[in-house]
Amino acid sequence: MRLRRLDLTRYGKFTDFALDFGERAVGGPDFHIVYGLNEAGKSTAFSGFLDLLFGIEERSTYGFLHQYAAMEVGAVLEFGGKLHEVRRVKQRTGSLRDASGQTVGDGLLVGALGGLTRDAYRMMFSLDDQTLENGGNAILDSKGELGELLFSASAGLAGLSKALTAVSGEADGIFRKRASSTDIAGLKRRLTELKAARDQIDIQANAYSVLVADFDRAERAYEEAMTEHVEFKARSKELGGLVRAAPLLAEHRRLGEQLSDLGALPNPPGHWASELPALIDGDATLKTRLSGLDRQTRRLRDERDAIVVNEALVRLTDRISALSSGSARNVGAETDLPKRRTALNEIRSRLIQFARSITGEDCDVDPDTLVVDAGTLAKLRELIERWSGVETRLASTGTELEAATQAEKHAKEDREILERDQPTLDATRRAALQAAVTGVKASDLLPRRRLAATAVSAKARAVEEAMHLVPWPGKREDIEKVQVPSGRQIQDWRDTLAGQDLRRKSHRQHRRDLETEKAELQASIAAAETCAGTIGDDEAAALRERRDGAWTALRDGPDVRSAAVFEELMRAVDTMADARLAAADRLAELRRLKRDLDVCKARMVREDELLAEVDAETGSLAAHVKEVCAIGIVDQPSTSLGERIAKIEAWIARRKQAVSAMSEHRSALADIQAVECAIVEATASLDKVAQSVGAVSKDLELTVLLQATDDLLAKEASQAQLRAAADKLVRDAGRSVGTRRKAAESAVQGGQAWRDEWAIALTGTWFRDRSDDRRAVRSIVDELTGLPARLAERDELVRRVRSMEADQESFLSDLEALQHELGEEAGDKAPGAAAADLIERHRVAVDARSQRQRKRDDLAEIEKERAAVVDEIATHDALKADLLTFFNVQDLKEVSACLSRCGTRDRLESERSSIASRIMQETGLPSMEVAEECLAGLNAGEQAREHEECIRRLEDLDERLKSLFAARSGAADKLAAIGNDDAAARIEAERRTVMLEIEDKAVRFLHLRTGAILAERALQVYREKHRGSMMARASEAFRIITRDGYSGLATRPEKDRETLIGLSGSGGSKLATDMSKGTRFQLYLALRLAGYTEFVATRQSVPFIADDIMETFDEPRSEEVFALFGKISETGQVIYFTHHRHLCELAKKSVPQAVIHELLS
Amino acid sequence: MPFRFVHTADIHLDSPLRTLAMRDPDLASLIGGSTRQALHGIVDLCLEEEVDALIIAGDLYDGDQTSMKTARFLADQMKRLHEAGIVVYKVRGNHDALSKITHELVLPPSLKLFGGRGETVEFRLNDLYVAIHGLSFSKPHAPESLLPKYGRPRSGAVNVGIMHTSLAGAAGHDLYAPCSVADLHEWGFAYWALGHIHVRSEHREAGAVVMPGMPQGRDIGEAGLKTVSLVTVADDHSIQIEERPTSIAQFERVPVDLTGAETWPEIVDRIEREIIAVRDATSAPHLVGRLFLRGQTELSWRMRRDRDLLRADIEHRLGNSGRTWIDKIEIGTAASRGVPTARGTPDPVDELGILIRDEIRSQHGVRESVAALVKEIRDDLPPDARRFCGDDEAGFDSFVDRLLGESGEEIVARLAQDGAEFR
Repeated sequence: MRLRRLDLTRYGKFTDFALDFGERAVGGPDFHIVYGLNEAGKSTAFSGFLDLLFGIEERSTYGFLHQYAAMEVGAVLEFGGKLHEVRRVKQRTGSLRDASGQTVGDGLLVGALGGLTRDAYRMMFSLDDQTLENGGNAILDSKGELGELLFSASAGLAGLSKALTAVSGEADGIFRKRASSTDIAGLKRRLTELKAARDQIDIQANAYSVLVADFDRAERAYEEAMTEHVEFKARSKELGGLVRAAPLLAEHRRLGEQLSDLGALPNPPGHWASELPALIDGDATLKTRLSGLDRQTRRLRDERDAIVVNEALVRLTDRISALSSGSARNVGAETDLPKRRTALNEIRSRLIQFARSITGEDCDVDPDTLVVDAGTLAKLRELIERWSGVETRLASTGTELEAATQAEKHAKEDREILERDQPTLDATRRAALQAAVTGVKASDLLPRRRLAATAVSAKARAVEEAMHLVPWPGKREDIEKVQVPSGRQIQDWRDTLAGQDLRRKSHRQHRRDLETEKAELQASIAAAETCAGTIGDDEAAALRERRDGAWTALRDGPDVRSAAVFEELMRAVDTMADARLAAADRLAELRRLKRDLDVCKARMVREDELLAEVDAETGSLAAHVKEVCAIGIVDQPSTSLGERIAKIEAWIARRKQAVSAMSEHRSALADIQAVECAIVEATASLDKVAQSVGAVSKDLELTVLLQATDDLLAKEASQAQLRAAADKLVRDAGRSVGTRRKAAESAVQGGQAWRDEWAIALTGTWFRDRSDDRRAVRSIVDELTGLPARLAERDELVRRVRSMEADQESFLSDLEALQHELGEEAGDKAPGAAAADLIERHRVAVDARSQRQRKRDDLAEIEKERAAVVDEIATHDALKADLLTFFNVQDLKEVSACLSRCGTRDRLESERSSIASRIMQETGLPSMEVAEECLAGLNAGEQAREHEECIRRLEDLDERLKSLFAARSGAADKLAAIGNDDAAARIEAERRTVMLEIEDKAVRFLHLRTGAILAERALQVYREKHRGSMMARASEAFRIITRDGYSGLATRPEKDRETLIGLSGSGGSKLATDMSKGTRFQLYLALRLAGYTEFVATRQSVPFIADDIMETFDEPRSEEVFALFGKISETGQVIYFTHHRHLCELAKKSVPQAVIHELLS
Repeated sequence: MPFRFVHTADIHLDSPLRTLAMRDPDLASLIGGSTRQALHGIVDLCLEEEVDALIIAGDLYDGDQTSMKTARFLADQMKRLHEAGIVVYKVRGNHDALSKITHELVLPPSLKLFGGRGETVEFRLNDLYVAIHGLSFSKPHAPESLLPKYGRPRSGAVNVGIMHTSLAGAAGHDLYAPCSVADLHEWGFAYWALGHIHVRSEHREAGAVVMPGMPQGRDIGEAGLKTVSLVTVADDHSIQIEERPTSIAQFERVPVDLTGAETWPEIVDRIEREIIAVRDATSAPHLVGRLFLRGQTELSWRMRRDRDLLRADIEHRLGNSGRTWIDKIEIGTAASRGVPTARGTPDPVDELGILIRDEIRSQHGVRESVAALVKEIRDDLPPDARRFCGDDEAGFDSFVDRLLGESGEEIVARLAQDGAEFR
């Protein structure tokens, strides 16, 4: 599959963006670089591509700009020899569409992808720096294990070793033989704990039967001890009774003897003894009390009979009481009545006087007819009070109306005067004028002219100054025309000159060094030659020549002499040879020194040549400089070419300043000209408008014109204000007149209303005819206010006088009637005194009657008491007779003695019987006789001893019973404590769960361990299967990437594994794990590329996508990686994302056919 | 007046539930005492329905049950019935015959325990004449049929037989008084109250032969609704049998098809839906479900690797309901990953899986080393925790086969997932 074009229609930050990878170049690499800055959307593009192939992810993070429903990516894909245009939208089903929008089944792509899934694609065919780094680490983790490396590289799974280690770690965490910290060990410990917990609370069946037996035993022992205890208790009780009964029996006998001493006595009733003292006392007192009572009776009867009562008076009690109160009133009336009558007469005459004065009539007028009702009076008073307000208002409103009318008239006059003196400016014209002035002001023409003028003079000064610094003989304008060498050219000159100087300096230094060397060599040679015994080569050659000559002579004509000469020379040669042999080192040294000297000389010559060459170059440079400057640059005398160049450069810089100043000056002049033109135009247009208003002189300068128009406008503005104020005055005055008029009318209406009310109020009064005289009415009203009170006072006096007179009359008739009834004559006495006498007599009669009644009551009481005493005496006498007869004695004293003896006998008998019953109780015997008989036969001491023993035995038994009871209770408690709760069952349930958990863990452990075994074996097989092809490819790729730093890869078998090693270019090898970090990354890259190549070799290719993976690579290696990508891209499309511009260039250099696409951010 | 009784069997009182769900202490406290709660419930039912009798056809406890607390609890429940005037008829099953606590226990006099020889109890209930026949296991095994030891039906009576039997043909239960349904029908009793098989079955002809099943299942092998029979024998001797639910916790298998599930939450959603559907159809207060996940999904590998997380997620979802629990998750899903093509598999991960399946598992020595591994851990575990790898050689072999198959798939899943995640 090949990606022809990727459409990011609505995806991430992109809208309708397309990345067109174009047609595939035939036979060439299909390598694309996508360049974009950070955030340009490289990752988005990759994700978009995956989403196109496999569907937009459920929770895609690329829906931030376009909503999920709108998201769409598209592409033109090449596969199966055809082009396919497809689009992908975000939908659960039918998300893949063709170009026309028809749904296409996902099967279309599945076939082309050969069943690859999204994850697999991402893992296998994409790379980024992180993947690479993790891959490098994976090499370390795997310790170079080949199988793992090949697998993880071709599957893109960098964490394989870690995953395998994690599996082992997890398995170890679950179970390790004899380890105590594993899960299973922990669970086993828990089992032990649970067993202990259960043992502690639970009772097993066999333990239960033991408990039951324990309880039975304890129960039996307790019952036995109890029986024994009961027996001893009974015996002890019996003995104790006998012991205590013995002394009681003696006491019983003694009491019997005392009783027999007393002899026979009768048995009187028990109460006699207590009654006897009262009887003796009664004998003396009863008779005395009877005679005293008789005396009292007689005295009371006499006193009662002596009292006399006037019964007639007593019968009239009610009426006499009424007379008493009537008498008191009579006395008051006699003194008060004359005073009241006088007062009544006075008040009547005052009223008549009042009536006369108020009505102004001479004849008598009944004051009662003058009364006017209070409502009318109040109304009249209120109207009189209101009148002054009504009156005042009528007056003031009238005055105010007049003043307002006057004010309005004045305001109107003032306004007319104002309009006449200063007519209003036409509004349109004034607006035009205002607009014109504002326009001119807004354009800032005047300030701009000022600034421009300042600028022109400043620039002119700058030109002068600049020109002053540039030596220039010609016209000022011409300086601009001069062609000057560029900065770069001058820099070139400098660089060249510097290079020449450097070379010159170096050559000179060499020359100097060689000179020194030469001197040294010559000195050395001289020293070697002067060394004694040394035969130089020349001398040796001469000697050999002479020997050869001698030989020739000898051979030609042998004789003694020639032979001798030859011999001598032979000897000399031999001697020389020996000597030379001996000094061979020195000779060789000498030869070397001479050779060195020659070399040295030759090098000196060469240095000289080079120096000359440099000088010539400098000369030609100087000539070139001069030639260039000749066209106009003012040449200045200089000591050296360098200085000259510097001066030229300085001149050029100053010229540049001058030229720039001139240019600025010109532009300032142009500015000011433009401003002036604008001012002229503005003046003309403003003037035209001002003239139309007609208030300004013609042909004024703009400033003056502006001022004039400003003044005009200001004056017009102030006039307008005045006019507005006058208009306001007129309006206000008009409004004021209206208001006043209304007030005046309302006052008149108020007055009329008052009069109407006044007339109505007076109707029905006796003074209605005085309606016009408000003062008279007012005084009548004031006077009438007090009249009803005075009339009421008069009526009250009349009523009281009449009542007093009636009381007097009733008193006199009552008195007379009483006297008549009592049959008495009125006599001469005044009725008051007669009445008082009658009342006094009546009081005396009543007192007497009540005294007599009290005496009667006392008498009845005494008689009752006497009858009681008589009864008491009869009873007393009867009892006394009984006693005397019973004891047959004469008086009560004897009776007393008899009773005392009987008492003593009774006490003794009671004591004796009580002792008898105690004895029977202690011994438990039925009667006293049996007890006496029984006790008589016993030995008391023996009994007591036996009793003591019994008590001690019982104490022992008590203790034993206590402990047996505790034992029985304990056993019962233990049984009861078993309970029926499910605590044990719950522990058992937990134990079962722990067992299940152990099994679960064990199975988990086995899965992990078995999985690890299977995976290791599978990786071995994988290694065997892919070793050949992948190793060859990876080895080659690694060699290329490392630029022959490594010649390739090899493997080394180790026990059951095979590790990867790198073969160093310089021979030797290195474990993959020993390589540097960067190299490890490159090794992983080589493996990944091999994996990819392996894939495309056997299947349809898919685009391989890499994202800036070469951050850590040096340039040469990067170049090689690009070359490798180029090579791979001959079989499958490779897309490389980067944000480094230089990498694009590098790629282009390595693979000229690579296509670069820019992703604009 | 009708004769009414409740018939139950195989209570296995205080026998623990066998599920990993009990690791949750909340659940353990809720259903830990389920067998007790079930018995309590049965007694409640007897009291509410005011029945005349409770028939227990054997296996009150597990044979190895020795806690007297269990016995005391049983005695208390029997006392409740005694106080209400309800008679209990009970035979001993194979487990009871083993039990030590039975002998120590004092039970109320109204409980009739039938002995090792056939016995018949006869009584009149107004006009109804009832004969109850029973026989207890005296030893843990009874290889022969017990039927001949029972008395013949009493004429004119309603004959009820109580028997603990595996019934003929019940696999793995042949040592427990085998006897065929037809033979029982032929014996002529009106009602055969059976016990021993933990699953309910009812056979009605002229009479009724009823195996009530246990009242409370203890593991997934004892899944489904658990009941007792409430039997009414009318005056005309007609018999009406009602089923009454008894279990506190009900075990159920929950198959879930995850085909096409794309995200983790979707998987959890689908599982939750299925569980809730099963729960809604469950009458017991608590459902303990074993999940069987099937179908093709991308997330197959992740589920295998993150089994614990999956369990936690589902439990979290179900947590709010408070009555639904996970016994275990069995993952049988397949990944819809690479499709092997004619030129081989496209994905090295698939290739690794295929290698394991086709080559490694059958490679020499692999099976042997795995078997050794299994033995090593098995022998280190407490005896009660060794049954996971089978009881015999065949079981062991099939365990190793399963282990090899599942482990291969799991390890590939893990490598693919973790290998990618460690990137």
